[in-house]
Amino acid sequence: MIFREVEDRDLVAQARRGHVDAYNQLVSRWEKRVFNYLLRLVANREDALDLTQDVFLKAYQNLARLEDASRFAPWVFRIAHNEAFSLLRKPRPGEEELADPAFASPGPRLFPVETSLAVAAALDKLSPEQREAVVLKVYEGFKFEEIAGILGCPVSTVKSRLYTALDLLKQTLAPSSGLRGAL
Amino acid sequence: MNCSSFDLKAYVLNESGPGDRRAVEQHAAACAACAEEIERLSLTCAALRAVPQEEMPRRIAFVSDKVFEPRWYQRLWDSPARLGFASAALLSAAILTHALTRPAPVAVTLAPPPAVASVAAPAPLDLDGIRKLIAESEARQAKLLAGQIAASEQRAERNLRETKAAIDISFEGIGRQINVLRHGMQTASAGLGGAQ
Repeated sequence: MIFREVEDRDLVAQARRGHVDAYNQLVSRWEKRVFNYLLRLVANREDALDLTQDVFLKAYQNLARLEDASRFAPWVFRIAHNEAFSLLRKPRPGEEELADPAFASPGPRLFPVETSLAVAAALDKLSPEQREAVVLKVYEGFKFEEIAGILGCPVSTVKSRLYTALDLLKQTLAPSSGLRGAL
Repeated sequence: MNCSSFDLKAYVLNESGPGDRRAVEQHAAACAACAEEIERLSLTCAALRAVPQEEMPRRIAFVSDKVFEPRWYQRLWDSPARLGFASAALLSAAILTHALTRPAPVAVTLAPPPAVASVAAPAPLDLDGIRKLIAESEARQAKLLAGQIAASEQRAERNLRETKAAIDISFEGIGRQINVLRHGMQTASAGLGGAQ
């Protein structure tokens, strides 16, 4: 558990009273994780960055609707989930339209090292729903109930997606017997 | 208990309670297949976590930036003067409701305007006739005014007479009271003289 001098719920309460610095602190605290979550879903840095901006803008505009101020993170990830899947459902224009090479899509391989390539290849075999469940559990550390709240589905569905995904990932990332040493 | 009764994935993902964790660990100590499954799942999660988080290409805008600026109604709502605005709004609503629900005023029937046709084709002006009409109107006004002045003078005279009569009555009353007092004093003086 990460010790925080000021809890999220205190910052949310201050932000609701109009203290913009409190919200800035929440943005600083969560922007990188939200960005990486979105990056793993949409596999495009520019899209992930735009979506992260939209997520925090929507969160700020709807801060009064957050019922439990201590659950800011799952709530923000819920917004991010909606934004990501709304983008994924849209028909995508050609990737060559990206002008800035700094934002060029890395394709399925987001990370440069060998392990990262293996992980990226393994994640690429999953469905978007399975990949999202893995990201929320393994990378973001949410509990099953929190993931169910973020995805808007029952806990049993979360477990089913996650367990199936783990079995698929295990075949690539932790093969049995002598193949294990290859990683 | 057989192997299928243990949720090894929940164990690896730290979703098991303390009791379940102990049970899985005791079982894995005696079951090579489950021990290997736990090891493979742990390796899988370790490989996934080995991928570092990406740094952001740039920081996203902060609340102090334009994009996060609240709307005018949000600023109004957050301002301390919102109670004043709310009171003013309620008062306005009450005035409006009263204005809309009060009894309708008595309808005033106006004489219909002159026919437009006469305006469209004006006849030549009859100046003598107009002068005559003005003179008649002035005569009526003068007669009316004279009548009003006469009535006003009569009212003033009547009021004066009534006031004078009231004053006379008051003086008579005062005189009677003086006589009574004088008589009383004389009686008292006579009484005192007899006693001496």
